[in-house]
Amino acid sequence: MPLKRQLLLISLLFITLPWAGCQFIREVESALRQGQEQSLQASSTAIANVLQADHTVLELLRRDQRQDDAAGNAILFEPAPIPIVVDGYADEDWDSMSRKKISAPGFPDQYLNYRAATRDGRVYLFIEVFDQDINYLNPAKADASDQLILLLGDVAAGELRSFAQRYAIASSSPGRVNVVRVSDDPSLARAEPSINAYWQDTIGGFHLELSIPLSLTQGRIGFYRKDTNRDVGLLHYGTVVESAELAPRAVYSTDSLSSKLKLLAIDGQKIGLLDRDGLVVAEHGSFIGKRSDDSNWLLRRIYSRILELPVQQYIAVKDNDAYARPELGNALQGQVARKWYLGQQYSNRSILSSANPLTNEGNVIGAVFVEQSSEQFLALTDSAFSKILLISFAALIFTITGLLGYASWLSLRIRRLSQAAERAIADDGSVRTEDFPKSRAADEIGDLSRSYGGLLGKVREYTEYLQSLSRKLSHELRTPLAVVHSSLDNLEREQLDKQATVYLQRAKDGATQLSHILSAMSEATRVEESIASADKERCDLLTLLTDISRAYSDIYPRHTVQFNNLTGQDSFPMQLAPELIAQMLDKLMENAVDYAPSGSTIDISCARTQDQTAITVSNEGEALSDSMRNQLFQKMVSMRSGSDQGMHLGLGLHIVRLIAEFHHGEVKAYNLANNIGVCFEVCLPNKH
Amino acid sequence: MAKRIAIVEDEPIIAENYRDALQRLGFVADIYPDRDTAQAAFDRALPDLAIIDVGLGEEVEGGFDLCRDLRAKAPELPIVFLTARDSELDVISGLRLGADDYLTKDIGQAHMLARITALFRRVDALRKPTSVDDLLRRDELCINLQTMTVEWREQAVNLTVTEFWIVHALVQHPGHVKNRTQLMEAANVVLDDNTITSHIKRIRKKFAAIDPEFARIETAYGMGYRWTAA
Repeated sequence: MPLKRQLLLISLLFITLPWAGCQFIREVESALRQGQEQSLQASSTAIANVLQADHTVLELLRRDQRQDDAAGNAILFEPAPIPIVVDGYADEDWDSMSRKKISAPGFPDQYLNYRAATRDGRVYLFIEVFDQDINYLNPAKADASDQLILLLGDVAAGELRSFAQRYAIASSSPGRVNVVRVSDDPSLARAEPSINAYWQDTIGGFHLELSIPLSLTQGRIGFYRKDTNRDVGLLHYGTVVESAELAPRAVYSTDSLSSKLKLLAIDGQKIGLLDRDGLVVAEHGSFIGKRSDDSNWLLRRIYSRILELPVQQYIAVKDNDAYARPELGNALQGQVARKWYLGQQYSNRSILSSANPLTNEGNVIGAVFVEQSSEQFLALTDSAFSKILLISFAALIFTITGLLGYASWLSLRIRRLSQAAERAIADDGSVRTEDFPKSRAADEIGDLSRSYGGLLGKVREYTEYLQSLSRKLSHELRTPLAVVHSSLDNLEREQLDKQATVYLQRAKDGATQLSHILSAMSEATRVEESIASADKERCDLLTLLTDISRAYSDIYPRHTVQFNNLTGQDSFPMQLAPELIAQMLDKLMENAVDYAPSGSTIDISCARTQDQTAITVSNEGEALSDSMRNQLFQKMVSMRSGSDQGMHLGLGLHIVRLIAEFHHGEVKAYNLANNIGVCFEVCLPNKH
Repeated sequence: MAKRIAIVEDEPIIAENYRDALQRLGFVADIYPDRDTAQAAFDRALPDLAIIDVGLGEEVEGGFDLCRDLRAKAPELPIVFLTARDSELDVISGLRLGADDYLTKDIGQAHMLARITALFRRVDALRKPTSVDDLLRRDELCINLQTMTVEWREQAVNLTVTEFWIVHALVQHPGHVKNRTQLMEAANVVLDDNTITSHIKRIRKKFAAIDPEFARIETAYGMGYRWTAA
């Protein structure tokens, strides 16, 4: 793997930096959340303690133990922000109240809507009835008229039972309506002046607006409509059933409670009071802060992934659905509880809700909850987070780029060094240190370069020593050999017996052979010198080749030498050193003859292209091995298997190469097709 | 009176061997191991022939200096280099300094003695009138076998003994190719092919110095050389 890629891989370790940053953010975030939980829990406990010590709250939430209100649904009276005028019209005074729908059981198209409000010690009801067929009050047939029955308060009837007081509302015409207190004894029935009612006809029905003093309700209220229907007969529908003995509790917030909550609430918190059934009795405050959408969705997504935001979406408590939120349910079971909610999708804002039960004499009578947005406690907003992310990414890219650049620089230096080292050693094994760069860098690569340079210098000295060794050796040996020769020559002149003459002859033969070896050893140098001092002249290569081929036929009678002129030309004068070319061919020929079997043909041919002239000498015989092909033209490489004839120091083909190079050409050796033999090709440029 | 031959050689055994051989032929041989002693002796009296080694003790090229001085003193004196150094450059330097021949030490004693005899014969011949029998003429070439001199277009070509023998071998039968071995035998040398090639090259150059158009010595590629008739 290249250095660059290795460093790139290692630089990936830097990715742990943003990861560590995220871990840190997460830790901080969780610590802050815990702090927020504790503080909110403390404040909700404090609020719970204050509220459960409050007389009015206790009064409001206290439950009687006598009878349960299975007979109907409690009505929640919402605090009215402005005074309500009882006029049968739903003007702006009813705008803020929520509308609830009640259908007749079994007849979904028979229904009414109602709204409920409370203000200044009174409760108000606004009932919209949809009825095409209104039976107005006919004193003659009082039972046949449509009526609205109110059930208020509770009237003790013995020790264990109590009943609601019923009030009947029927109208003979739109306008103010009398409310009649119903009694078992019809003679005792009389109008109830403290209840104001106003009837207003509409298209397809009527509106009935009621105002009832809070004291009259005694904490319980319910109503149902008695509809004398032409088609289906008598229908009863409303918040209570007709048979109900007792009305459900009225749920309302008093002004004093509201102001009390107001005192307890802090900015950015929402306080709510639940009754035992989970109805919101009162709430105050708001946690909705200013929204900041300055980061994009991707960052928010990454952020929420890192911070492990709560998954449950926040739902505001309304009506009876307090049990939809587990912490409120737990509080109503008597446990202190809290829970995180997701404020908004893809937002890092979350909402903490902390709930405490309210108890009276060991019984849970309700619960109080405090909600707060995490915004004020957040360690990091989106923008801070995105900044951290951006900066660490920028640092990451900067570091990686820097490392890459550094790696490139390092590998460039190392590559240069290795190229220089490769260049320094030529194909023929000679070492040139002149253009080896001398690094002045103080680092390890510089050291490496210098020591490599030193090493190459030593190698060069050694190579030169080796190269000059044979010459020096032959030179040094020549003097003692001359001593031997001259001594033997002198000895020849002495009177010797027959046996001594034999030995003398043997000694002379040995000395002569030694001379041959010595001259062969220095031949390479002499050839190099003679090649270097050769002069080129213009001569006809074709004539040279023709003549020399003819000569070879005489010299090597055991082989057929054949010259093929493939050029199609009669002459091609070239700038050559003819002696050297002849010498080169001699060497190629000697080589071919050594390997070609007796009687075979040795082909000398000449081919020409625009740029170069190729002379080939091919012979049958042993094929070249791949490993030998490259070394073939180096000094002292001989492939001859036996030492059957004379001295072979592997100079022949080296001389061929030197001569080819002297002519700016090159020599190649390759096997003939089917490996039946070998071909040597010398390519000489036509012009240089 | 016996001829005096000076052997300037730092290797005493070789020097003595040569002296013995020369004495056997009736010459008087003096051995000088270094340049100074040789120089001093030459100042007193000149020898008839000098055999000089190139490297003399500490002086790597002392032989060349000695040759130059000697040639200045005696233009006619035959000087032969006999050395272990066989590089082309040394041969050229030696011959340029006026040596009559340049021999490497592996030359056989017989060959060396043949040369020395030839050189003496030439010196003697120079003092005698030329007889017609000794002349060999080929067109513009004139070879004096006695003095071992060659003239081309009446101008002397200054050849060494080896070169003279090579030219003589070629000229004897114009048009006939003499291969390298034959030329080596004629020149009384045992040399490799390249040395013959460089001898031929030098001979051609010497002729070309007189006649730039000279092209009589022709290469028969793969075989040898021949002297072409006009």
